[in-house]
Amino acid sequence: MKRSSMLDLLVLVVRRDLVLAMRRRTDVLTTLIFFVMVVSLFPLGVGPELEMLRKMAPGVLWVAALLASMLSLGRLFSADYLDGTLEQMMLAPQSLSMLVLGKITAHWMVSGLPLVLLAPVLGLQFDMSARAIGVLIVGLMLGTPVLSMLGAIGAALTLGLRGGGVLLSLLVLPLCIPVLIFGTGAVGAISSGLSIASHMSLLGALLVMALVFTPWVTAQALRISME
Amino acid sequence: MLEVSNLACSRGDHRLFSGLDFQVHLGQIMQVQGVNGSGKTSLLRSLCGFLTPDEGDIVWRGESIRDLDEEYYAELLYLGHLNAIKDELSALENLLISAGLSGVELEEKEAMAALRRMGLRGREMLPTKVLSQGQRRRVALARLMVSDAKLWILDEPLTALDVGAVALIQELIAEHLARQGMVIFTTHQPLQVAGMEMLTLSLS
Repeated sequence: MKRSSMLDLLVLVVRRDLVLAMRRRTDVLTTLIFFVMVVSLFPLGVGPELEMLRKMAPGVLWVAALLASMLSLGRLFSADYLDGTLEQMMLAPQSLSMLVLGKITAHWMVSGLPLVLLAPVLGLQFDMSARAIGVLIVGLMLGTPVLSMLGAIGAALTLGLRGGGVLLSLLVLPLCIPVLIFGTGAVGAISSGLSIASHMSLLGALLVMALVFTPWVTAQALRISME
Repeated sequence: MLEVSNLACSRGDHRLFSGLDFQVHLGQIMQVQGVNGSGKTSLLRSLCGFLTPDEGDIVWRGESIRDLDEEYYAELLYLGHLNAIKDELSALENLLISAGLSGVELEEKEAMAALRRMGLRGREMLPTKVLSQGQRRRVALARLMVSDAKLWILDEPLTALDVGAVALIQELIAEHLARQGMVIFTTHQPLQVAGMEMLTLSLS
């Protein structure tokens, strides 16, 4: 028998969650379809005024991505909590933060990354320019992992509560505001011919900070929820 | 090895037990007895570090489990009321993953052998949602065979098991004790381990 290292455990959790997501495909698809539907309703509702659509585009796409990621957060820990896997994760001989990071990574790959990949197609509905779409994708790429990580804290805190879903949104949405501002700001900046460097640096900084702190905070929140 | 002194635990305002003292040494087995609601599960969960006791110390190899954390967990195997298996995964995948989480990298051959000894021959590749309650418990209990943990904490390990499986669990416990392992468990069914003196702790 071989003892596994911290990295082995991280990979194990990511792979496990991806396999589970593949076997429960409806969960993944609902998030994606929700995102597509919400974004597509705006051009239909607002009408074909290109100037207005172009202005709205980043905001609509970002808010829809934010709401879509909220949708899947409730399930991040609840299934493992209910069937006892979470107890076993806490008893793993490696730090719980590492396992949490694995779960967040898998969550992002399943519910964040597809949104990033779909965004350019949806951007076409808003007559976004190629450059604006490029900036949007880079922004989402940096921002959606932060949404998953902040969401994980909320998911851990509301674990096992009745009506936890609503509480989760109330807790997490305000925390996501900076990501939203810098993400949409970057697209706005490129459209008016300004530099996007500052917005992207701030998004990158948020990502690094979230990467350092949120797994640990989430792990502590999980321990509290388990008592 | 495991020393508990002056342990007190409460849920809400209700004091479950207090002033609890006991020790478990290598090769020893202890049964926690008590009526429903007397705090058996809470005691076992405190020993795992899920619950913070109101008072008292839990000491493993001379150090508090709060300070040891992951070093302690590497030597601990806990099996609670919940099986910690996923309906969507097969018995084999479940066992490989739960062993992986406890830090043991398992060969597929070893996992298959454990599941077969557990009486799941021919069911290794089926998703566990099609298995019966007792068979799922067997999948969870197969972890006992592939673990190198010193201390087993088993909460009602025999629920939903048939006579054959109960005999097998007794056999596994006897083997574990013979390897100088330690077991702390609760059960409402009779469990005999041949040639072993069983310590008992009564909560009332």
